[in-house]
Amino acid sequence: MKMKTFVTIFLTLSLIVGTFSACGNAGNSQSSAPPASESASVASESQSEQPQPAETKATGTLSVLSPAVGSELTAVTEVNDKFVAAYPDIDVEFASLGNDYETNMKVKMASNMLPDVFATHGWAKLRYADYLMDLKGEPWAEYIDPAIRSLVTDGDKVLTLPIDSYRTGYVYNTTLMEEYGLEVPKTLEEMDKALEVIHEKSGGKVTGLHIGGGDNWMYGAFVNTFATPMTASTATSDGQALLDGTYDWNKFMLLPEKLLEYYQKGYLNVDCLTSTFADTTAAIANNQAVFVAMGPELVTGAQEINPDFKGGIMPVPAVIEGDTACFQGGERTSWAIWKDTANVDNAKLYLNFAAEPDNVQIICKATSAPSGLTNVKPDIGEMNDYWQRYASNPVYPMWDRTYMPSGMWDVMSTAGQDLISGSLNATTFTEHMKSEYLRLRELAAAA
Amino acid sequence: MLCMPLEFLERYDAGVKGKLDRLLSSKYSICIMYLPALALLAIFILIPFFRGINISFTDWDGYSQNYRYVGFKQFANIFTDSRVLRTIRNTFIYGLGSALLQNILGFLFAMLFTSNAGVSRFMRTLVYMPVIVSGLIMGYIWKFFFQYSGGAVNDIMLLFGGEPVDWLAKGLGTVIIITVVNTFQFLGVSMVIYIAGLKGIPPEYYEVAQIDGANWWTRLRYITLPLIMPSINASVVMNVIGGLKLFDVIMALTKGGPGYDTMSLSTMTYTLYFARSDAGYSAALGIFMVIIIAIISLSMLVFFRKREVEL
Repeated sequence: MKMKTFVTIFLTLSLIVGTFSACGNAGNSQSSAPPASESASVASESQSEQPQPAETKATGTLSVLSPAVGSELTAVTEVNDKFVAAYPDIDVEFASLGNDYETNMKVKMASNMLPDVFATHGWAKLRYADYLMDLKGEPWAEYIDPAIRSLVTDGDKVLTLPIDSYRTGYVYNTTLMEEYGLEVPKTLEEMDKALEVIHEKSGGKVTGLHIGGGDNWMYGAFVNTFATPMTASTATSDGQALLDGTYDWNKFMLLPEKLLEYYQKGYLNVDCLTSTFADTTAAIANNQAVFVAMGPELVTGAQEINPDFKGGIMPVPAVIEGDTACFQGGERTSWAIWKDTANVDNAKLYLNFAAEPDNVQIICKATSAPSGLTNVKPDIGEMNDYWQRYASNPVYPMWDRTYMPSGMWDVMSTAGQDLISGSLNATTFTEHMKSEYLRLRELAAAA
Repeated sequence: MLCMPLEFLERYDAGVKGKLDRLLSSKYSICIMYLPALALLAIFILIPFFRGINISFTDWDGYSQNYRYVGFKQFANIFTDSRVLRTIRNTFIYGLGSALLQNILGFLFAMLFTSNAGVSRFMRTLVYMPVIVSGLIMGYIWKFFFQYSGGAVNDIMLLFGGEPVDWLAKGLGTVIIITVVNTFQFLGVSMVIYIAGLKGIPPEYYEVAQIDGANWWTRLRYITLPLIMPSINASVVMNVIGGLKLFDVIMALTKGGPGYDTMSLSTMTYTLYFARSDAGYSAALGIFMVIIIAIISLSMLVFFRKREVEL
C-alpha cells in the first residue's frame, strides 16, 4: 500500500512537472526563431565574438526582428554585429524570418507582444502604425528623404527609420540587351517590340519577361508594376478615382490582357506558374532572361550567382500616350520601435547606430538603393549611374499600398496565377479584382 | 522514487496516510491522473476551438486589437465564393481519393505480407517507412521529381526525346499528383492495420472453405472481408480524415497554387488568415471544414460498423 501510494503521488507529480516544463521551454523558443525560408533565415544570437571597448555603458537586452533575405540579410547582420561589438553589454537577440516574417508579425500583433525593434518593410503607416513609437525627436528624423517622408510619417509622428529609399521598375540584363540591339523601352509599345525581338532572335530560348510564379507574389509585383503608370501617373485621374472608389474598372482590363498576350506569345518563361524567385534570379544571372519586374536588389542577387552578370534598372514604360516612364517606391529596409517596449533606450540606440552613414552605406550597397536619409550619400557602384540617369523620372508610391485596401496583395498575386492557369480570363480577372477591392474597402471603412 | 529518504516515508505514512489512502483508493484517484491531459486538451484544443467559433462571427483581420461582430456573414461568404467550390472539390479528391488508393494498396500489401509468398519482413518495413517522414519533407522530395526544371520525371522524358511538362501547373492533374503522394506516404498505415486484422482470422475458416471447394474470390468475399471489417472501418475513417485535412504535402508541392487550383479547405483556411488577413472568414471556413469532416467520418463509421461480423 505504501508503494502504491508513493507510485501514485510520483506519477501525478511527474505528469504535472512534465507538462509545465514543456510549456516553459516553448516560451523560450521565440527568442531564437528557426529559419523558415529555404533562401535565407538566420538567427544570430547575442554576444560579440570580437571584444572591443564599449563606447557607452549601455546594458540590458534588445530583441530585433527582420524579414531580410539574401544580400540584404548579409548587410543587416553585418550592421547588427557591429552594434553588438560597440555595445557588448547589451544582450541583442537578432533574428531574420524571411518569408515567414509577416505571418509571425501578425501573430505577435494579435497577442500584443512585439519585438523591441522590428522592420516595417514598407508597411509602417498602413499596418504597423498603431504599434509604433513616435521617433520624431531622434537625430536622424529631420533627414528623412522628402520623397518618402509621407510614407513613414503619420501627421508629425515619425513611424520608422528608412535606411534606404526603394525604387522598383524593371531590372534588365544589359548583356542580352546589347546582344539583341535593344534600347531601354520607354513606352508600352516599345516594351512589346523589345519582347518580340528577344523571342524571335533567341528562337524562344531566352525569356523576355521572367516571372517566378511559384512564388505568387511575383504576379503581385507585376500587377503593381504595370498598374503604376496605368493608373497612378499624374497624366490620369484614375489614381484619385481608386482612392475615392469611383474608378472605372473596365480600364483595368488592359493589364490582364497584356499579361495573357505575353504568355500566349511565349514572352514569359514556360514554368511561369511553378518556378520561384530563386529561379528568376538564376535565369537572369545566367543570361536566360532579359526583364524582371523587380527592384535593384535583384542585380546584387544575380551577381552573387554570376559575378560577370551585368544588370541595370529602368523605369516602368509609360502606358498613357505622351506620359513619362516612372518608378514606384517607398521605404524598404527600415527599423521601428514597438511603442510598449521595456527597452526604449537600447532600441533608440540601435536605430541611431543604424542611421550612421557607414552603416547606411552597408545596407544601400547591398540593396543597390539610394539612402532614405538625405545626409547620407552612399556609394552603390554602377547603380548610382542609373539613379542619376533617371533622377528626373517620377517616383510614385507603391501602388497596392496607396490605392488598394489591405488584403489586396494576395488577391493580385493569386489572380495573376489564375489568369495564366486559365481559371480566370481577362474579364473575370478584372471583375474579381473589382469585387475584392470593393469588399475590402467596405471592411476597412467599417473598422 | 528509490531515492526518497525512508524517514520521510515513515513520517508521511504515520500522518496523512489514512486520508490519502482513502482519496487515492476512491474513484477520484484516476481523475487526478486525467488532470494534466485535460489541461492540455483544454489549452490547446478546446479553448482555441471555441475562440475560433467566436472569431468566425467577426470581421477580424487577425492582428488588430479590435473587430466587429458581423453575424453569419462569413458563413454566407462560403456559399457565394467561387473559389470555395473548387477547394471543396479538391478536398474531396484528397480525402476520398487518397483513402480509396491507400486502402486498396494497403490491403494488397497486407495480403502479400501475410501470405506464404516468402516476402521478407524488411519489405514490410520499407513500405511503412514513408509514414515516419514528415509531410513537408515528403512534399519537397516529390517536388524534386515533378518540378519543371531539373525534375527527375522531366529529365527522364528528355532522355527519351520528349518535351518537359510543368506537372505542378496542371490544375486537376496536379491534384491527382498530390493525392498519389499522400497515398504513397500513408499506405503503410493501412497495411499495418490490415495485417493485424488478417492475422486475427482463424486459419481453420479458410481450411474448411477450401475443403468445401471455395475459390480465392469466394474466400475473400465471404470470409476475409467480413471478418476484417473492423480493420476496414478503422483504416478508411483514419485515411479519409487525414486526406480531408491534408495540408503539409500541398504546401510543399504547390502552396495550393497555381491560384487556388490545388487548394484544400485547410490550406485555404491558412491562406485566408495569413495572406489575406481575413481571420473571420478563415475561422468560418475552418468550422465548415470540421462539420464536413465530422459528417463524412461519422457516416463512414456507422456504415462500416453495421457490416462488422463477430467471430
